Amino acid sequence: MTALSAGFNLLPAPRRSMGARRRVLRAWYAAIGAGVAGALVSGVAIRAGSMEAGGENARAIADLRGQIALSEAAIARERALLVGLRRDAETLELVRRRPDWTHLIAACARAVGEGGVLERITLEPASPSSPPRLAITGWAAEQTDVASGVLALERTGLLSGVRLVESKRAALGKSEAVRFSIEAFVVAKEATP
Amino acid sequence: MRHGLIGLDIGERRIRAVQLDASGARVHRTLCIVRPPVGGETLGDDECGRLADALDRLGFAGSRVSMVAPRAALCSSVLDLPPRATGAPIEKIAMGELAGRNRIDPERTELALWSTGEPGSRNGTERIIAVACAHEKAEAYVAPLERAGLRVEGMIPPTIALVQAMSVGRSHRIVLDLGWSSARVALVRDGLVLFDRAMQDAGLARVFERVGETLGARAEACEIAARRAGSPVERAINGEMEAFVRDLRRGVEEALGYGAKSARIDSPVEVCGGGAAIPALVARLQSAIGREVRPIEMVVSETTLEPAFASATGAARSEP
Repeated sequence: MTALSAGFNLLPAPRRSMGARRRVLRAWYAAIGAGVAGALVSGVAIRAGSMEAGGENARAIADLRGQIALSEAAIARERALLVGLRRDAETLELVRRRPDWTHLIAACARAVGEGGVLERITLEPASPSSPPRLAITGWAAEQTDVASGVLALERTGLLSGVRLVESKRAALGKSEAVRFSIEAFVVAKEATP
Repeated sequence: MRHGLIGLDIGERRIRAVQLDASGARVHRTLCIVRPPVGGETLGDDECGRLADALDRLGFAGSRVSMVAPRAALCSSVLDLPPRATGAPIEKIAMGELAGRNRIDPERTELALWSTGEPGSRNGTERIIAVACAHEKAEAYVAPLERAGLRVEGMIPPTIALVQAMSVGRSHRIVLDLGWSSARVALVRDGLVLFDRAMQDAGLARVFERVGETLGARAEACEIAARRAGSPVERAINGEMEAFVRDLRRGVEEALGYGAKSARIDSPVEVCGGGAAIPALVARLQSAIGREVRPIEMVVSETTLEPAFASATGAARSEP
């Protein structure tokens, strides 16, 4: 595009410069990390060289010890960071394992198909004697749409004991449709990580 | 595998997101979530938190976001300014004009502008389209997204997002973006926006709120039902669409009239936004405008995206 201005970014300038600072900081962290790793490798190499010399150069050994101490301090800092990151990862894993009920809602919508619309989906939590109970109400064009919806719900593999509680014609706006009510139990499945 | 930015289009009723792969050739993920009815023009921390969770759960990669600038946060104008080659401070003049007309602080406002390549009405000037967004208004959207852990790197004017979503092809294209609260018509030539007009009162809400009252149902439910060809809701819509379609036709004719000054335009009108999914509306527009009206084709590699994802796709393709 023939632009008079350099770009089309309307993000406030302070936000843009903050983003640029973040990118610079990330680059610095990467460089420092690489430096620490390099110091560690060179320290080990120097140490090996000094060992070969048979302890003739005590000053070199002292330098080497100093570098090793610095590297160990850097490792300790990185380890503390790693502990924090691991804790964050565990928290995220816990959150991720929560059941995603949107899949169930989507499956119900697919089962009802284009012949009907869902009005309400209610989920009662599981009790010690019963799995979670699902109640669905909605509207369909024809009774056959309701019947095929019930069959499709049974075939989802997510539900058991699918039962048509009610299915009768009723007024919808200025026309008529079939109002239905279905009950079922959610099949308990182990969440896959 | 590396991925591009998450393109985010925050509408009054729905939030749509698209992420392409790093080359922009393939769609990685898409998302569409319905906003709470009270959402409107504001964006809360809870809503942004849910959005960030949904993006993560659906497998969007990273947290870098490029968003379409919300219509409510923008002001725009068509200006006749001296060409840049004359050394005139184009940005300063344009910002001054917009600030004066819209009473905004130029020091706390961002500006995007482009030349239409056409001469202005005064001698020695060229026509410029300028769009501005006050920091305060932008922050109302950006701050809650950032607090939810997303990193907003770009805010793209809506018409630019639409252009970036379109495949380059025909010389002239007329695009009609039919949103819930407003509509937008743009005339594009070879990827350059020549004409851009927002129609504030021409949103789908104007039709479906009345249809909802007639049928005793929620306006949003009526809009969803109307997406099915032959739906019983279609009859109710037809009764409410006359004034709405007339306003849209006026906008399209204005765009065509502007473009016809320099060339004959035979292109169809390409519709995007939520309105593109309503066959009765598209058919009615076609008969009112008298030229082909069709949903915009959004093909990224082998994936066909719904026209409603056009703006989010354009934002995802942007390089702020």
